[in-house]
Amino acid sequence: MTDMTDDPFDARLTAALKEYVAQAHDPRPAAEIANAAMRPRSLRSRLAGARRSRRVLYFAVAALLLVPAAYVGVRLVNVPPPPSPGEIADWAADICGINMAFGSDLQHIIFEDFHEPLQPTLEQLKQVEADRRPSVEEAYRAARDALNDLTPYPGGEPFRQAMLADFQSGIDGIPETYEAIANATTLDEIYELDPIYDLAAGASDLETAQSVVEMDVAFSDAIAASTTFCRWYEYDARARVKGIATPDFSEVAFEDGFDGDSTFANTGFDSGQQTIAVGTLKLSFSSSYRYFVAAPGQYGDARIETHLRFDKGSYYAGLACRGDDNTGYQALLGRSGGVLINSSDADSHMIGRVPPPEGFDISNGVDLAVECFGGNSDPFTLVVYVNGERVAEVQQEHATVSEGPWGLSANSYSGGDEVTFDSLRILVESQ
Amino acid sequence: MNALAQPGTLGTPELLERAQSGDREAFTELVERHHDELVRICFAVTTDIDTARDAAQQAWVKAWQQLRTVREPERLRTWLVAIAANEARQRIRADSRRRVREIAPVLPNANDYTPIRSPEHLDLAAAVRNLDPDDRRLLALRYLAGMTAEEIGAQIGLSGSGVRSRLSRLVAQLREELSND
Repeated sequence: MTDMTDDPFDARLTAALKEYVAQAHDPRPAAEIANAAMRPRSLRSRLAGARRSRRVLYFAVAALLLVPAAYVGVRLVNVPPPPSPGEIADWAADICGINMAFGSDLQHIIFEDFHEPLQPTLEQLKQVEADRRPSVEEAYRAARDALNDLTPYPGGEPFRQAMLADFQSGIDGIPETYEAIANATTLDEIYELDPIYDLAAGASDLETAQSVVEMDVAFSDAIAASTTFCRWYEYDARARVKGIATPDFSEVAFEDGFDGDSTFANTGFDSGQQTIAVGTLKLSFSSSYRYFVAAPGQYGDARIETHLRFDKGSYYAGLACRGDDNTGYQALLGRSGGVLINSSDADSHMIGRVPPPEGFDISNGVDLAVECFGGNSDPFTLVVYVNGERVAEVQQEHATVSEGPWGLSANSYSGGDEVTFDSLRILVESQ
Repeated sequence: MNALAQPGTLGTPELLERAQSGDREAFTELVERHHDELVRICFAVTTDIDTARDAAQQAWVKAWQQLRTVREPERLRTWLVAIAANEARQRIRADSRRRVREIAPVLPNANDYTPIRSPEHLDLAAAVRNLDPDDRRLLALRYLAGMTAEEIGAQIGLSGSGVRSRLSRLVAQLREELSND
C-alpha cells in the first residue's frame, strides 16, 4: 500500500525513475550472490580498509556478541588476475612508478589504488606470515574448541557445524597453506591464502579475537608501508588506427594563446591552481584530482588542438570533447606517450589505449589534437593525433553525448604534478 | 511446511522460515526474487552500476546476518529494500570522499550495462546525481519501492510526517529542475 498522490508529477517521476533504473541489473546467478552473502569468511575486505582501532572494534564486538564475525563482511569486488610481468605496459609506470616492459600486443592493463606486487612488501608479508604461524595454529584450535563450548550456538546449530567444518578444514590445510604463502608471487595470493582472516571470522571468544588482532598488526604495518598502489586489469584495446575518414575541420571557431587577453584566468581549484602566464596555462596539483577547464561554447563535431608539456610528476593530461570528465570524452597522454581514451557517464570507462609513438618525449612538449564527430545515425568517432601523426581511433555505435563543452583535461593521482599547455584551438568544418 | 517442497514453489512466509533456519536453497530463492529490485534501488541511490551491485551484494550479507529478526513475512521486501538503500547511501558517501574517481576498464563480458540515453533520462540522471545520497535514498524508497511515508520513516528513523515533509521539499526541487525542460 503506497500513499501516492494524484499529482501528475508524481506519476511522471515514478515512471521516469523506473525507466532510468530499468536496465540496472546484476548478471550473476542468484546462487552466487547468496553464497557470497552466506560465506563464513572474507572479513578481509572490510578490515583491510579499516583503521586498526576499527578492526579491534569489529573483532571485539563480534566476540562479545558471540556472533561469528564471518558475517560482518564479504569480499565484493571481482578483480581479474594480474597479467604476467611481460604484459605490463610502460605507460602504467606513469602512475605506478614500476618499470616494466611494454607488451608486443595491445592487451593492456589499468590501475587502481591497491597494493600490488612489490618485492620488499611481498617478502615482508611472507616473513610476517611465517612468524605468526605457530600462533595461528594455536588460535585455530582454541577457536574450534570455543565453538564447541557455546550452547546453544547463537547462529543456530547449522552455523556451528558449518563453522566447525571450516575450522577443521583450516587446521588440516595449514601446512599446505603456508607452503603456498612462501611461494606466493603477488600480494593478492597472500591475501587469498592468509588463514588469519578465516580465523578472525570464526573467533567467538574475546581472547581469541584479541590474539588475532594482535597477530594482524604486523601484517597491517607491512601493508601500510607499501608505497605503490596498483592493481592490474587486462583489456583489449580498440584504438588501433584503421584509417577512418574524417571531416575537414579547417575553420577556427576558438583560439587562445593564454596571453594577456586570454579567455582563461588565474584560479584555484580544490586541489591546485590554474595559472595563466606568458602564453601558458599551467596546472599545479597539490593532491589527486581530475581537472577540466572548458573553452567557451558548445560543440558537436570538431577538432581540438593544444601543445602541452609535462613539467613534473606522473599523470595523464590532454583534451576533452563533448563534455567534462563526467559527461564526455577525454584523450589523455601519459608521460611515456601512451594514449588513454575515456568515455564518461555515470563512471569513466577506458574505451581505447595505444602505445607511445616512436621516439616520444613528453618533457620536450608535444602537439596533441583530437577530433570527435558523428554518433547519431553514424558511429561516433574519436581520432587522436600526436605530433601530427594519427595514433589512435576509437568508434562507438552511438555517442554518449552529441555535444558539449570542449577543453583541457588532466588527472593527477598523487599531487605535486605540473602540466603546461601553451595553446588551445577548436576547429569546425568550414561552411 | 512441506519439507519436500522446492523453494521456488513456496510462498514468502514458508520461504522466510526455511531461510531463517539456515536453508541455503531458500535463501537463494529469496535472492532470486528480490535481488534485481535491490540493484535498481541501489542504482537510483548511487547512479553507478558497479557500486549498486556491490551495495546490493552487501545488503544480502546483512540480510543473512539479520534474517532471524524478521518476524512479519509481509514486511520482508520493505526490510530488504531499506537495507539495500541504506547500504547504497553509505557507499556513495564513502566514495565521495575519494576525489579522484577510478578509471574503470570496460572488460569484455564484465559490463553489460547500457545506460539509457534519451534526453529526458539524461535530465533525470543529472537531477538525481545532484541530490544528496540521503535524498536519493528517500526518492528510491518512495518512488521505486513504493513505500509509504510511515514505512520509510520506520526504516530511516523519521516520523511519517517528517518523511512527507522531506519528500515534499525534494519533489518540489525535482519538479523545478525537470519541469523546466
